[in-house]
Amino acid sequence: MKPHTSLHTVELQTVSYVSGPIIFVDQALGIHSGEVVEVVSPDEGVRRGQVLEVNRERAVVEIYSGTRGLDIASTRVRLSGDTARFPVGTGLLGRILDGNGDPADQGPPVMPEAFWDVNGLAINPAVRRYPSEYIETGVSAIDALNTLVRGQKLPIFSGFGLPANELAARITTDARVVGHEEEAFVVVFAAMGITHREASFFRRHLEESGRLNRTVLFLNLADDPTIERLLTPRLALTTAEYLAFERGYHVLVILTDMTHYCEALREVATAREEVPGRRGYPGYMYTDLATIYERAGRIHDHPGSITQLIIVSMPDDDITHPIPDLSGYITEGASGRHHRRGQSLRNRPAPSGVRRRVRAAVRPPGSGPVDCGGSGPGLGPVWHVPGR
Amino acid sequence: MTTVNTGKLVRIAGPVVVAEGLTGARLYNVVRVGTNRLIGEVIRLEGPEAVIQVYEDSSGLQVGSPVEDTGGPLTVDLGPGLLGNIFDGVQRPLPALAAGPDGREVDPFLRRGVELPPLNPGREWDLTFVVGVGELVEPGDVLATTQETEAIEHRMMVPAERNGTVTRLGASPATAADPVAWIDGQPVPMTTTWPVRTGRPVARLLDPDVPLITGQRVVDTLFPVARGGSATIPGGFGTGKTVHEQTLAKWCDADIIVYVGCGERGNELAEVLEEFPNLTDPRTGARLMERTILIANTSNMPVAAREASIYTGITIGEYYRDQGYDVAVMADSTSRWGEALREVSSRLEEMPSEEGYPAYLPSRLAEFYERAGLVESLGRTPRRGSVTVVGAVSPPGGDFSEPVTQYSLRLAGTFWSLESDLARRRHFPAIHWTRSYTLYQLDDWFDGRVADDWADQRHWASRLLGEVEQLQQIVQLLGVDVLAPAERITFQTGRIIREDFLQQSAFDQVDAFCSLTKQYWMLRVIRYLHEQLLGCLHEDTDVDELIGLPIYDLVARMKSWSGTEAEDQAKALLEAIDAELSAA
Repeated sequence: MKPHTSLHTVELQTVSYVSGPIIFVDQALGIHSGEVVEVVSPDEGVRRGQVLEVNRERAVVEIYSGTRGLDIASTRVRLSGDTARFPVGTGLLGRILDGNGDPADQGPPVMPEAFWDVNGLAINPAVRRYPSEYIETGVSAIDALNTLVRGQKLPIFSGFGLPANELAARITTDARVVGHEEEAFVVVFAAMGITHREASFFRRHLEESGRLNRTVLFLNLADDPTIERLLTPRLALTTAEYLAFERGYHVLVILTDMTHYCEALREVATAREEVPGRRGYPGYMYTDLATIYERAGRIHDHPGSITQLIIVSMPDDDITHPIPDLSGYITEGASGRHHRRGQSLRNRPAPSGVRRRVRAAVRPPGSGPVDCGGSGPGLGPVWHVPGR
Repeated sequence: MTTVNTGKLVRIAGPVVVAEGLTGARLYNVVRVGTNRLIGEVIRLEGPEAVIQVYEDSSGLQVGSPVEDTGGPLTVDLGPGLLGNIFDGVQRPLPALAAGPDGREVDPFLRRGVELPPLNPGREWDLTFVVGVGELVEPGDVLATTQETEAIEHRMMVPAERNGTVTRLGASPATAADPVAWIDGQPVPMTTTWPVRTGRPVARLLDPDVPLITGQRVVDTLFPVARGGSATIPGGFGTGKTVHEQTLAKWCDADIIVYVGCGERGNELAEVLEEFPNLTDPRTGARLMERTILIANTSNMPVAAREASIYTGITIGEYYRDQGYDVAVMADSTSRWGEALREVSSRLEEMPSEEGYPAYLPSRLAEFYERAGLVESLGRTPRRGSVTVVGAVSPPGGDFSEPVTQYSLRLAGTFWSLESDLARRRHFPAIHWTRSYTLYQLDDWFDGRVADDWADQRHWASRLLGEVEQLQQIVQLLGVDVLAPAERITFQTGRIIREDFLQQSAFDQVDAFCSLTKQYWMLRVIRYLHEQLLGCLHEDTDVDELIGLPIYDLVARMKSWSGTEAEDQAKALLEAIDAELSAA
């Protein structure tokens, strides 16, 4: 990720506090809230950070790649004058990037077609199109019971040791929209805090399936800087928005694992000495997660769509834990994977909810309302799912 | 609004910023922040510094950015053109924001600092004048009317604190900015404004004694809410809060629906927007969207505007109430609103109380819920109108002991308890039959309007469901065989009430709305069958045979009766019960 180069840059050498992912920069009068800065460490290494808070005396800056090796005397902070922007383009397809958005596949730099704000903008609710086109994932428990539709955000609540990533990988390569096979369908994959083993599994899986050239991979590994994870899903979604709403692709975004993202969020909140909410997670976690999940959707008069598949590990299989709980409130539908009596895996439909978009998705056009038989969003219309 | 004073920013922390130099700014004045002129509101004054919550994303601001005081509190524009429209939390019209100057859709994203009048300034309205020149008028009197939509006549009233003689009438047709009339030489514009945090004045509050009919059996029969009352629906995710709120918005017999989507999913609002324009109001035959006003602040829109959205919604509701309409304000969800309070409070570094919520959470919730009411409006010829508040609550982890649920329970008169256990068993609406309650005494109304034994039947049903709950515990421990024959029948009737009466499909064309007559006759059939079965019992009766009677299949089909023929169908079924039992 390269910030804009401008004719003059402001450099400050007024760091007064370094702790965890946070530094304070004194007398930072020209600094903007939310601005991206470059921090030059004593050994001339450059790291990126973002301004969280500014006041008359100082600015609070979070450093994505950690603060190890920074000092107070000689660390310099270079201002960019702009909020974080990511160089997006169709050239990203087929590329593997790190959690910061820099190429991680020995390939050449990506030719940017535009620089888009990584935080995105909220879609005007008045122009959203209601999701109704069925995506066949090839996983019967999802297709039959928790149908995925274009523009939806479907969470998969998993437990540690369960093959949620295998499921995600399978969906990445097998998913298709019935009757629209020829349409441009791409996958943006954002991995946060996954292990080398998992990352190489994904890479190999995509290479073997021949889908790699229709995929953008963002990989933040478990031993990469934690705070970088706050950026990774936003880079992935900015890329997805560009591909979907500017280039007309149907984009499936896979976010794994949001639990690691939330832990990074908590780490920053704790370093800032904020009042903690439930289990130490910050009180604004709902809003923060919403700014990620709500970037799924379809827009009237725009051909593309963004569909999200979100993997959330439930600590101790507890669905009332703040991370799955808040994710469940924002996302649409739920698919549960459960430990049960030594069996390694069960994709158990029982605790999963079908949100109502299933109805619209499986209804043949012009056939009028479907008689659901039972009450509420029941399982009635499942049999109308068009077969392969 | 003219600019009163200008200051400079000294601190920016997310949605909360601090400015100095805003001398004379009052608490809750609206300010414009930065060069983008973002909308903000003063929420604390500390010596020379004013703490401001910003209704838009604050990134890009810097220390020293200008802040302008507009000199007034946050207001909404009230006038014809509200119905059928969609606004954000601070009443910016969302369809107009998306459309370019030529009306074509150009920008699907919400940009910052955009300013548009809430009501279309170019639209002309045909006025019918109700008063004449020389007439003495007081606040609340209707000056003129216009047909806002097919079913709703918009009544333009004399604003509060204006009275005198009508000296001149306005022209017709007129636009939003044109005067309707002149009182003592001063013009009264068609569009008036009102501060959102202040309730609109009324002549007097009445005791709510008329139910809001929703067509939902579990609501109307067991836990009705009064017009001018308030209800709360807590439930974990996936229990159907939003479906329930939308079902009420579709079917309830209020004249106007204000639907506040507060911190919820964008796709849900898209669903309302795609569905409502295609549905017709069962009572007026007009399009459902024409009686609906949407306030949309999805979860990714700025958090401070989420806090304001609820007040914006209820103020618009009160405006139509004062015109003499029954209004239902649906807030989905008040938890997100509470979280917005919490988020702003923690940025203010206030001392947190329960679960990090600020200590003023209960008083703020009360300020919202207590704006519900059945009222007699101001004016020489008072009109009766009401605002009914239905607030959804999303308790974290589905735990009802959390503060927002608890304080809502204290304030709301009706409690619909959504249970994830029922939702999991596909019992919808997942409103629990013994844990929910209503505090409104509406039996007299039902007895007078539907059938004189409505209340009696209702109490029978809730008593029986309570008994079944106790039997359930025994059955779980020991099995159904230990029950006495009469208890077996009670147990069976409990199941019939749950499955064939309380369960109702929101997506079935016939079953989605159930008239009061149909509700009455359905329950009457179930009660009759129950009592006849009990009457059949003697020592050597085979209970298994009784509860396996084929008549139950007919009872299970009661849901598909159409509203008009329910009474005839029920009477036929009562005869069939007699016939089958005498044969058995």
